[in-house]
This record gives sequence, C-alpha cells and structure tokens, in this order.
Amino acid sequence: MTENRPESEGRGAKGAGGQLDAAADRVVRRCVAAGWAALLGRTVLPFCIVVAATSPVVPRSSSLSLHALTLLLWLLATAAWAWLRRPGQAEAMAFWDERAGRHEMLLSAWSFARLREPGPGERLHLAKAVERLRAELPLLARHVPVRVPRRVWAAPAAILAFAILGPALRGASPDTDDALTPEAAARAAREAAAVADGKTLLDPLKGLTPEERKAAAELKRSLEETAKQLEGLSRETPREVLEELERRAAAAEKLAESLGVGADELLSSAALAELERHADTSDFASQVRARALQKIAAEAEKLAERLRTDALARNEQKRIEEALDKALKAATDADRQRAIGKHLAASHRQLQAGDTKGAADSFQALARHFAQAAQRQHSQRQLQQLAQSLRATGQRIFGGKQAGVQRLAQSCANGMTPTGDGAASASGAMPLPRWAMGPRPSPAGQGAPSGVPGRCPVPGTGSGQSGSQGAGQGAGMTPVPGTDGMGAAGAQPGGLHAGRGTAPYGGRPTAPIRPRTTQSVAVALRGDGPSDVRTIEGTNHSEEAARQARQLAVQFLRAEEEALAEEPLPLLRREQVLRYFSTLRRRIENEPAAKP
Amino acid sequence: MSQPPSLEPAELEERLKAFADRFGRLRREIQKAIVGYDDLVTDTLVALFSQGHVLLEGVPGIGKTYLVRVLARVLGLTFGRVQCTPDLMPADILGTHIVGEDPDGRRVFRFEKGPVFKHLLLVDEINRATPKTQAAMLEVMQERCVTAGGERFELPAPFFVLGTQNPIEMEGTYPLPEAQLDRFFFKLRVPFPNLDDLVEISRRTTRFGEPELAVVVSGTEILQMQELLTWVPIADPLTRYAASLVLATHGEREGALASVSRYVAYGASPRGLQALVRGAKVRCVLDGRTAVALADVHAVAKPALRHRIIFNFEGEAESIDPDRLIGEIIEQVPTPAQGAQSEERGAESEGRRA
Repeated sequence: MTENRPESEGRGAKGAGGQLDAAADRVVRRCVAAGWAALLGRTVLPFCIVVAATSPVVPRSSSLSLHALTLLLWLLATAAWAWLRRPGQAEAMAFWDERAGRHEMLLSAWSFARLREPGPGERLHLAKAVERLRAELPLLARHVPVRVPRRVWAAPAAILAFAILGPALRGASPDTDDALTPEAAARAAREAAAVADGKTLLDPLKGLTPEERKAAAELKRSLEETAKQLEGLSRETPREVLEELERRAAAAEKLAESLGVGADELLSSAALAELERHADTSDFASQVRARALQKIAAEAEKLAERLRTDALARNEQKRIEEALDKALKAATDADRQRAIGKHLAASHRQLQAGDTKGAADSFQALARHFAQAAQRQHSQRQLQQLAQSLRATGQRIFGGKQAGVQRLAQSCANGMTPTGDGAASASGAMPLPRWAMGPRPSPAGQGAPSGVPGRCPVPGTGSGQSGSQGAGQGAGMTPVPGTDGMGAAGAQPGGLHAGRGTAPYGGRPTAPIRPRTTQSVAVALRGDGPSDVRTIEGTNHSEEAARQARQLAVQFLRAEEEALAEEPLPLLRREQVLRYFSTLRRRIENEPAAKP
Repeated sequence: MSQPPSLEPAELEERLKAFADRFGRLRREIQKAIVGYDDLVTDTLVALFSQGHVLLEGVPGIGKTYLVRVLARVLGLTFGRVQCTPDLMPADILGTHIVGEDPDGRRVFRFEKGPVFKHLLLVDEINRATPKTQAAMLEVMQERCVTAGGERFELPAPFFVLGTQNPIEMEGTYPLPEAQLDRFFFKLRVPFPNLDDLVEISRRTTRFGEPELAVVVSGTEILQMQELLTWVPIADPLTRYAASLVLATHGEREGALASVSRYVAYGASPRGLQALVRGAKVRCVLDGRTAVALADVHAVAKPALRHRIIFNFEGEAESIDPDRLIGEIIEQVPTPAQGAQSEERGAESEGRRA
C-alpha cells in the first residue's frame, strides 16, 4: 500500500507534521500562560497575607526594595511552577480541540503525523486537519484565553502599601542612637520605682547556697543602682538604657538557671512503675512522676511518720519493704546514684534490718531534700519573674510595641554574655528544665499545660499547675494519679496500677484504691504458718463503653452480609438471605438513638 | 497478516460518504416498520457493520423479534430463528449427522445443517437454553464456524447473531455465562415505547398488511462496508483513553474507583476494548468525521461495556446499574485534554466556590 504512495504525499505528511508541531508548541505556551494567570489568581491572596504578616519585621530602610523583590520572586515562582506543569503537545492539542469543539481533530492529526507510514485514512485526516489548522490558528487566543484575574492587579498595590505602612504598623520603635526624649526620660523616672520594687522579689529567696546568696545580694545592689540611673536619665540613648535593663535581666536569668533542679534528680519510669504498683508507695510515686517537689516532700514525710509510729503493723512494714525492694531492683544504676535513690536504698536496708526508725529517718531526709528543692524552684521562678519585669520596664519606658522593644533589646544584648544554654531569648524564655516550669506569667485563662511533653497535667498533683489550667485544656477524659500518661480520652479503666482510671475533665479525679482490710489466715492443713492477705476493693464508678451496642450490631450484620458472598448459595436464596440481613441492618441503623 | 489493498484518500473519502448515506437509508427503511427506537436501530446497525453480535434485553412484546425480522428483510440476508427452551439441544441449533443414502444407494452419514447456517440468526430468549446449549454458540459466534464429527463447516458471511432475553422472568432461566456475554459486541436495552410511539404502533399494526420494505444493502455490500471501516483511523491518545476506560472497570487495580472496587467482581475484557474502538469507528463515519473522537467512544461505551462488567454479590444485592457505573467511569477517567486544563479547572472551581 505504502510503496505506491506518491512521494509528494510523504512530503505532505511531513510538512503537515511540522505545521502541527509548531502549532502544538504555540498551544503549549498559551496553556502555560493561561495556567500562570490562573495560578496568580489563586495565590494572590495567600501571598498578600504572607507579605502583610512579615512586613512589620522588614527593616525600615530596605522595606521598599525587599517588597519589590518579594513580588518579583512570587511572579517568578508561579511562572516556574506553571512552566514545570506545562502540558505535553498532545494534551495541549486535545485541550485546544475541546475548547474549539473540533472533536479531537488536531490531536488525531498530530498523532497521525508521527506515524512512519500513515495509511489513506490517516492521510485523509491529516489533509483535512491542516486545512482546518490554517483557518483556526488565528483564533487560538480566543479559544485559549489568558485571563489574568482582576484581583492579581491588586498585588502590586498591596505590596506598595505594605512597604510604606509596614514600618508604621510595627509601632513606635525607638531609634537606638538618638538621644532620649524628655517624655521617655519622664517615663523612665516613673519606672525607676518599679525597678526598685523588683528587688523585693529577691528578699525571700530560700534554699540558696552561700555563693548563690552572695550573687543574689549583688543582683539586688545592681538593681538599686539601675533604679537610681533611671531616675536621673538625661543624655543616655535608648540603647544604653535598654542595655542596662537587659544586663540586669540577664544576670537574674543566669542566677535562676544556676538554681535549676536537674531532671536527673528523679527516678526512672520503671522504678516509678514498681512504686506505683504498691498501694503504700503509690501516692509518693505519683507525686514523683508528676514532679511536684513540694508534694513529693509531703508524701515522703507521710511515709516517714508512718514508719516511725509504734503502731506500725508488721505486714505494713513488709509491704513497704517489698515495694522498695522491687523498685530498687527495677531502678537503673543512675537511679541509685541520685539522692532519691540513695535515700530509698538506705531506707530499704534499714527496713530489712528491722530498723523502722532508721528507715523513717531516711524518708525524713528525703523529704528535707525535696523541700529544699521546692524552695529553690520557687526562687528560680521569682528570678525569672524579675527578668521579665525588667524587660517590661524597657517596653513601658519607650512606649513601643512589645515586638519592637524586644527586637531592640535583643540587638542591645548582642555581644553580652549569653545566658542559659543559648536558647534564651530576649522575651525572657528561661532555659529551665521543662518539668520544673511552674505557672509562668501568662495571659489569664490560657491554661497552657506545663507538664512533660506527651503527658496531660494531673489535676491536683502539679506544682501549682491547677492555677494555670483554664478552660482551654479541652474536653475529654483526663488521666488521674497513677496513670502512665497514656490514658487519653476513652482509655480503659482499671488495670494493674493502683488508682488507675479515668475521670471526666473538670470532675473529681478517681480516688486511689486503697487496701481496706488486712487479715491473717492460718492454714490449718499443712501448717505453713500465717499468711498476709490484702483485699483491695474498688469503689463504685461509672464506665462508658467504647462502642455503642447498635454500632456493634450493625458491624456484625455487615460482616454476615459479606460472609454470604463466600457461601455457595443459589442466587435467589442468597438474595433472600441477604435481604433479611440488609433489612435488619438498615432498621438498626435508622432507628433513633436510645436516650441515655 | 495480509496487506489490505491500497486506497487513495480521495477514494476513501467518497466511500466513507457512501457508507454514511447507505447507513442512513438503511435506518430510514427500518423505521418504516419499527416505530421509535432510533438509538436501538442505530446501535444494532453499528454492531452489524462492526462484525459484532447483539444481545437485546427487554420485556416481552415490545418488538425485539420483529426488529430482527425487519432487519433481515432490509438487509437481504437469509434469516434463521431459534426459540430457546430448556430442552433445546446443541444439535438442534448447529445441526447433526444423520444417516442418508448416497447416489449409489449406500448408506452414509451426512451432516444436516441447523438453523445457525444463516446470515442473520435470531436466538430468542437465549437465557432459557441450558448452559450446554448456550455453550454451543461460543464457537459459532467467535469463529463463525461449526465443528461436528471432526469436520469444520464455515458459516455464511456476513454472519450476525441477535440474542434476546427477558430481564424480568428469571424462573427457569440460565443466566448467560461471562464467556458467552463477552462474545456479544453490544448489549442493547429495548425500552418500553412512549405514548406517541404506542399510538403509532397501534395505527400501523392494526391495519391490513405490513409495510413494504425494500432491500437496501446486500450481503456483499455489507462485507465491503465492514472492510471499509478498517481504514478509519484512531489516534493513539484516544486508543489509550479507550483502554483506560476498560481498565477502569477492574476493581482490583490500584486507584480504581471506590464504587468499582466495591461492586465489581470482574471488569471488561480486551474484547470490550475492541468493541469500543470498532463501534466508535462506525459512529465517527456516521458523523462525517475522518478520525475517531472522544464522543464516538463515549457513544458506544455503555452498550459495549455494560454486559462485560460482572458484579460481585454486593453489587448484585444492591442492584447496581452498570450504565450508572460506566457513567461514573467516563467522568473520572482523565481525557487527553484534562492534563492541560488542570490549572484552569482549579481556578474555575475556586471561582465557583467563591
């Protein structure tokens, strides 16, 4: 067939192929342009929002050029994206055909032009398609219009507006090297009293070592000097004033950091789990897990008193000894090296030796240790509060927005001794151990949980955390003392751990289950001697099933329906059985839910 | 594969035009006797010229058998009819060896051809035949020949099977197996006539006599027209699209439609793709185009695929309509043009949301 084909027809097909390729390239470019315009329309709003959000932090001097650069980058990025997602020639031709209502005429022609030996049908189609292409190529712009959405034109205007208004939006940030204005000097004089009052925060610092007391006294003295300076400001620049305040704040933070009680002071989770498993030590362990230092001390004190009492039953002593024994076996080497581990080990040894008074003394020492740690933690927070107060003073003096003053303070702090582990910022973020962070000054009701990441704060067990827990905690179930932190909403109540369970948020936590009775049982037959028996009785509580009975029934019926597919039943019989199950399921699904 | 004879584009164009004219005349002639059913008549003729067989499905008394008889008259073809019943045997359709006498008076076995040896075979109520008898049609429909006693008998060309079945009377029927269904090029649903058509049917059929029908095309011309369609080209992107439609009927494939995965046990076979392409070629010629377009593929998608989609138990129980499923597939499978307009579509949908 093809041998007889005149050469002119072969050349014609090649020529048509060239024309179609050129047209296809043109359509591709048109599609890219249309896609770019559409992309601009879709991204202009997010782009403007981003620009608006960042314009306050753009330096004033280069605001216009940076905004122009941003605009250019946006245009380039969208253009590059549109180009990368450009259609192929075939797709582009198909698109044009669809828009022009040509029933894939040019797409087919473009495809036939690529054949090595087109048949008569293909050649006939190519001839017709090329003729149509010549007529319709000038109409490409009408068929594939590049419509730039009107809102895109708002972007340059918005950029210009943000470039001009951005510095204004960021507020009256003080020029650092200009002389202090009389208004600022007056405000500084007023704030001097507040700075002087700040030293009262240092008065009741407790639990400090002599060196730390010395540092605190030094800080107090420097605060007095700063207060005096603020009263008589005249030629100082804002930078100098802020540097002075920042220096004091940094010194307070440094001292606070030195007071930090390390996380390694407490027990590992395995050892704690053992202590939690035993009712006598579960309260103590819960407080250790919650890292509530004051309450740890209180619980240790309780244990000490219990051991010290003359009415201590032998079985109680054995229980505590056993609890300590198992906890120490589960403890790591690091646990045993820590203060708490050493005290618990000492107490265990003394209990084994029958010296309950000595064991009580060990728990007493442990209580003192944690009481001191709690005092240090309190002092640490006061110092941190002082640092924030000093920075707020700078903000009040210069009247700028907080962000502006913080930035300035940060720039002033450059070159100063870095505080903490480098993570501290000018906003007063103190590198305290996270567990030890108490109720940081925060907006009322914010209720940010301040426990260990991944753990919900335990109501009533945190070190003053309940004060900062607001309505923002979220609904649901909250773990109660004794849980391992996994008890999210819907957690199964009960389990091996004493006091485990869930309670509705805002309600009273489940009370730990305590041993109610202690009995001695004398085995009559074998004469093995008396045994200790503990009976733990739970209290009444309500539970909620994870699935409703109706859901369960529907799932069962669905499974039965699916199982029918595997059964070798006659079609009619199968339909009948299926109809039975389906009707039953729909009836259950549609019936109104039972009122609780 | 033998090379087809050469053909010039101009000559091809002329012949394609003649094809469309003749097709139109054929349709008009049939419509002298058949009231309404324009689409049904067109689809039946599309299958005929695509060398395919048709399964007609409809309730009794709406003219399925009459349509086939009319078709035989206007096509000038020999017509055979088999009324399927549960006791029908394969030999009743194909033919059987009987004892006869040769010219010398000796007794010999000779093959007595059955009703299948006609150009146009109506297999009425095909689902009432037993599976054994239905299976006898497999070779006939695919190979267009009958093998009996080790001897092969060719069927006359063109050969065209029209099966009918009633969808409501299921008692005592044997649903066609998948292999048998797959051999039907199209499955056409015969709808119930509307009011005007019913009035017209009454007017035409209660008078004396039947309309006179002329033979529009002969068997030889049908063969030429069937051969002509092989010259109609289809572009690769459209073939790929048709293949994507077929693949989309398979629920076990990754990225299959949720409804297909849920309700379909087996999807369409490669024969389904052949039916799509060949049917689309006829449609393309009828619309005066020189290459197959998407619209042509869409026009034949439902008749070509609806009987090739085998539902699972859940699909059967929910009485899923295969046409609805095919409609969903057509909507979801991306066309060749869709890659180019994704950006603009995104913008348009955003505009609609706004």
